[in-house]
Amino acid sequence: MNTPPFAELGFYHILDVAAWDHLLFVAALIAPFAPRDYKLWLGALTAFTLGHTAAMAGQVALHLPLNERLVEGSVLATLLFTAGRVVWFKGAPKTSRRGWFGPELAVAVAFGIVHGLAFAKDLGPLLPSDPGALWAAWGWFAGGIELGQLCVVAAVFVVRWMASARGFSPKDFALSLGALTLGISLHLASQWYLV
Amino acid sequence: MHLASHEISVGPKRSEWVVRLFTDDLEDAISASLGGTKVRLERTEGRSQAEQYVRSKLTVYRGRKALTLYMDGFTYQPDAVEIRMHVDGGLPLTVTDKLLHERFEDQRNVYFVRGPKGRLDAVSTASNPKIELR
Repeated sequence: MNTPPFAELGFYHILDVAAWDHLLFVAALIAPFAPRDYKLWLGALTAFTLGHTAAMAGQVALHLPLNERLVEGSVLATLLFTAGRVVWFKGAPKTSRRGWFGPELAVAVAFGIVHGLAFAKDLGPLLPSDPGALWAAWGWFAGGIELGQLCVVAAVFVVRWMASARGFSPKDFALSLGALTLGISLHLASQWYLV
Repeated sequence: MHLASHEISVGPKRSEWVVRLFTDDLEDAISASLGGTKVRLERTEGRSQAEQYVRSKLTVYRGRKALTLYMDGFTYQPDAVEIRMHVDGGLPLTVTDKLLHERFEDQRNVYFVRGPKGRLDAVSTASNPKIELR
């Protein structure tokens, strides 16, 4: 069976090593979580996917006049915020301890929207005009994104487990991953905002 | 990943075909095929250059019979160009699609086909440019 093309596209949209922003964003988003917190991280990832796909579909349909530089700068801001938050709370954001399902979903949806708006311009011109094909494309694309994110999550959890086996506490692991992501984000931001 | 898309509506007498390509990708490819000559598709010669390129990279067969690609329209936009075509008759079609594959190793040309039996999806890649639509 052939992989639906838009599922593949969604999958590699996340797992594209040349586009670090999604990889880092997902890693920073789930850094504080353990696999058993699946309701929290899966909810956040799915909310991100839905926001991302809905924003792309909306932008493709409505062609809102957006400032490209502003949108791409906002993508970087979401990365800085997510990683910065993990570092600020020393690897254990308060909200994660309180069961912050609601606010986290809202943040993930909002960030998904920003990321989706940034990608809409790349995909929009190639989409089919037939409504059935268009809906199918969006559905497969969202599925591909979700699957790609789950691969990142799996990789992070494997590294987390390896770190744990060598004496790293989950909090230290999250803080290290958050700090690494923040450092890379700041480097990217220095290139983006200062140029 | 580099992308282009085809949308084909198959009818009993003819199949309507729209191919959408990113403008800069297509300009790059045509420019390379012309030995580096700068190509701007918004110019008057842009349509004929685009159509000629598509004809050179896209072949369509029904069985052993090569089909003519009739060019019906061209729309230029800064982001993407749209070329409307048709071939006589419906399915089956065997398409060999090498559009932009010579320029980008990761080029994927996605097919959305609405046929008499429903929708079909397919992808042409550099390693597998042949598409069978039945």
